[in-house]
Formats: sequence, C-alpha cells, structure tokens
Amino acid sequence: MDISKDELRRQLRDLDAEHREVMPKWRDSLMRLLVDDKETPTEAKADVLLGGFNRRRFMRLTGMAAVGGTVLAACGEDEKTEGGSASETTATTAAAGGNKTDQTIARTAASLEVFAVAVYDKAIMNAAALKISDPIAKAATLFKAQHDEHAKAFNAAAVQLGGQPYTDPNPTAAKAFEAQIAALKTEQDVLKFAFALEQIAAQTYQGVGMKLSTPMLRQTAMTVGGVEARHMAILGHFIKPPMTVPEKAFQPTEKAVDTTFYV
Amino acid sequence: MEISERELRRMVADIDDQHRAAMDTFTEDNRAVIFETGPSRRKFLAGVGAGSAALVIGSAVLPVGRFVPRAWSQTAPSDGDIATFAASVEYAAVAAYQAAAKSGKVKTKAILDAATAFAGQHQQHGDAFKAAGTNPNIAANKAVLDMVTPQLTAAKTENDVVAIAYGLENAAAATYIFALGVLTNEAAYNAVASVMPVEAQHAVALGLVLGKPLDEKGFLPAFETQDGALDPAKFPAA
Repeated sequence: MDISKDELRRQLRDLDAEHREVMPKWRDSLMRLLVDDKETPTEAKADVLLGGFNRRRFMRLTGMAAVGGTVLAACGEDEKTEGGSASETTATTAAAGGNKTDQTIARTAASLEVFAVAVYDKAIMNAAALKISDPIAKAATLFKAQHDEHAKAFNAAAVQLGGQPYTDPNPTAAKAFEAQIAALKTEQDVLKFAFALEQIAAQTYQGVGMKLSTPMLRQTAMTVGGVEARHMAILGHFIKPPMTVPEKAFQPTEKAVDTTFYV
Repeated sequence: MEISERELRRMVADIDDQHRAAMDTFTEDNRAVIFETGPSRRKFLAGVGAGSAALVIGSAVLPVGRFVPRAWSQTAPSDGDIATFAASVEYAAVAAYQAAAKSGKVKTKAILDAATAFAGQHQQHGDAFKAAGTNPNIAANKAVLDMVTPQLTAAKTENDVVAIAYGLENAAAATYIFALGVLTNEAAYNAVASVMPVEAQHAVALGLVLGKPLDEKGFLPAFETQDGALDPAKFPAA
C-alpha cells in the first residue's frame, strides 16, 4: 500500500506538535530533578537518566511529588505514583541488583541504627538523672535523628534489594549491651558508651565493604560510616580526657560486629 | 510524489540504526554533563558563593560537585591511578599543615599539637596510597598547594588557618567517598575506607575549634557526600 506524501506530512506535523507540547514539561521536570532537587543523591538521578528511563522509577525520587503531575501530563497517561522519602532514596539506587548478603547487611545495618536510636533516646529521656549537660543533650538529639535517617536509608536499600525491612533494635546488640546500659550513671558513662557504639558502627560499615557486591553499595555504607566517625569525634571531645583526635591513622575494623549480629 | 511503503520502511530502518549507534555511546558521551549536579546550577550561575574560608577550597575545586571528575569521565581510571591521586592529595595535606605550623599564625598549643598529629597521619596515608598506586615517585599535589599556599599567606588569624585545614579535610573525605563508588580492588577499597573516616574526624576536630554549630552543613551531615570532592582534572596528581 502506498502512503501519500500529504498524509505523511500530516502525520509528521501531528507528531511534531505533540513533541513540542511535551518538551517544555520534560525540560522543567529535568531542571527540577537535576537542579532544584537537593534531596535525591546524584546516583539516584543518574540511575533515572542512564539506567533505562522508566517512569515508575522516575516518580520514586524524592521531591518529585510536585513534578508528578507535570510528568504524568507530559507522558499523557494516568498512573499512580510511588511516593519516596528522602532517606529512602539515599540508598535505593545503589541497592539495585544486589544479592542475599547485601540484603542481610542492609537489614543488619538498619537494626544497628535502630538500636543506636534507642540508646540515644534513653539518654535523652534520662538526661536530668544522668546530669547530661545541654551541649551534649543537643548532640544526642541530633545523633538520634541522624541514626533514624540511617535506619530508614538502610531499610530502603534492603527493600530495593528484594529483602524485608528490619525496624527493631538489633536483638544481639540489645542483649549484649543490656547490662552496660543499665549501669550508666553519669554523663561520662553515657559519653563513653555512645562513643563505643559509634565506633562499632563506623568500623562495621567499613568492615562489610568487600562483602557487599558492588562499589556503589560500599560507597553507600561509607556515607553512613563516615558520619558515625564524626559522631565519635564529637563525643570524644566531651570525654575526659578528650579523644577528639583519632588515635590511629587508619580506622581498623576490629570492633566491627560479626555475623552473630546479622538479622 | 508518493512514497512507497517499502521506501518508508527502509528510511525508518536507517533512522533506527543511527539511533541505536548513537545510544550505544550516549552514556559515556554525556556522563560528565548528566552527572554535573550538586549545588543548584541557578545559584551557581547567580554567583552565590560560599562565604567562609573553609569553603574557599570547596568552591575552587569541583564547582558543580561532579560525580565523575571530567578527567576520569573520558578514560576510566584504574584503582592504582586513584591511589596515586590520593597519595598526592595526602602529601599536599602534610605540606599544608607544615606550612601552617611554620606560619606563626597558629599560637594555641593544642591546635599546633593536633596539626602535628594530623600531618603525621596524612603522611602515613600518603605512603600507603603511594604503595598501592601507579607512581612510586608521587609527590605533594602541586595544584592543591598552589591553591592553599596563597590562602595561608593571606590568612590573618589562627582561625583563618584552621578554616583552610577544615576545608581541606572535608574535601579529602568527599573525594574518598567518590572513590569508594568506583574502586573494585580489595586492597584499594580497604585503604580508602580506612582513611576516609579519619579525615572526617580531622574535619570535626577542626570544626570544633572554629565553633561550628552542630547543624552546619558539612560539619555534621546525616550522610557523607561528594560535595567539594577534589577534581583530578583541576588537581592532577603529577
């Protein structure tokens, strides 16, 4: 069957009109993603753009809720969006394509973070009895919030890896440290215990590195591990005598949790 | 004139072949552009600067927080190349701390002691990275020194000097976070992963001297970032 040139021109003109209508919205969406979206990590944005454009994945990114309607309009279809939280996207991109060990490590990390949240929460709730000073209480509040974000990020990664989130404090840690926590009586006791906990976490995220299946997952773990090291430095500053300056040039992994802590 | 369906199919097939050939290299061709994110581009174009001496380093390095430094986007660096670059940065940090101590502007003994300790640790970092790298003769990164030295000269107070060191430590930590996303060799990973937390702690120690508030970005973030990571294209190892 032959197609007339007129018919071809008409169809091309219709296609061009649709394309021109969509492109400004697409450009706006990209600007919001690449420029205005401060929460979504670069890796997640890159995954959207380079990992095979997929509207569902695009909509999962943080801060895209406002863009959602724009994108949907641009694509011309109605589809339910999947909301994402800031902490969820921190680790989701790196988590694509992982294996069972990756899942376990992500869940275990989440459980350790939840344990840390519980410890800081206890310190904050008992600040008066423990005579915790204001600056330290402020640090504890911040650290609790950050560990909560870490937990959410690791759980998001666990889910992305095909596993289930873990939202309870690590049971092995809870049991192992129960007596120590009960024995905390002073501000210095709390500081030293919190320092030790942060040290365990920092060394754990470093130590699991080569058990994780991809460099991106290792990087993700260390975006948290580095912060635990910063927590150590702050806590060490308040400990008497101060321990702000790291003892060693290279952080060891001797205090990393072993597989008995895995969940 | 009419176009036969066969002709139309042939033209569409030709276009499809060209499209597929272009898409094969799309990722690599556009990696530097696509990954050029970080601080808001609009703000950057509007000239919104960082303001503090500590961020002078950040603003002079990867201005848009490249995920993949341009030099590395063209040819993939080996783990050894990354180690060599890291060694040059560490040796530059040693030189910077030594220059800071000699400047006479740092008078507080505790700060001088910390600077000496940090310089010693950076020396060890440099030696370890050099051993894992591709250049056994690697020295201090000249471009880093060219940037830091005038800043040290211009520094008026002890805090000005500390702020420069603070920025350098955060830049190093950010650089190693980037590197961790590309390293595949276990020895290289172990070296970088064991050094990055130490640079982060150095940064916090210096930030405490500067009186940084807990919620200041870059001082105690919820997650380490690559913001301010050193770009090998701007700061070549040799």
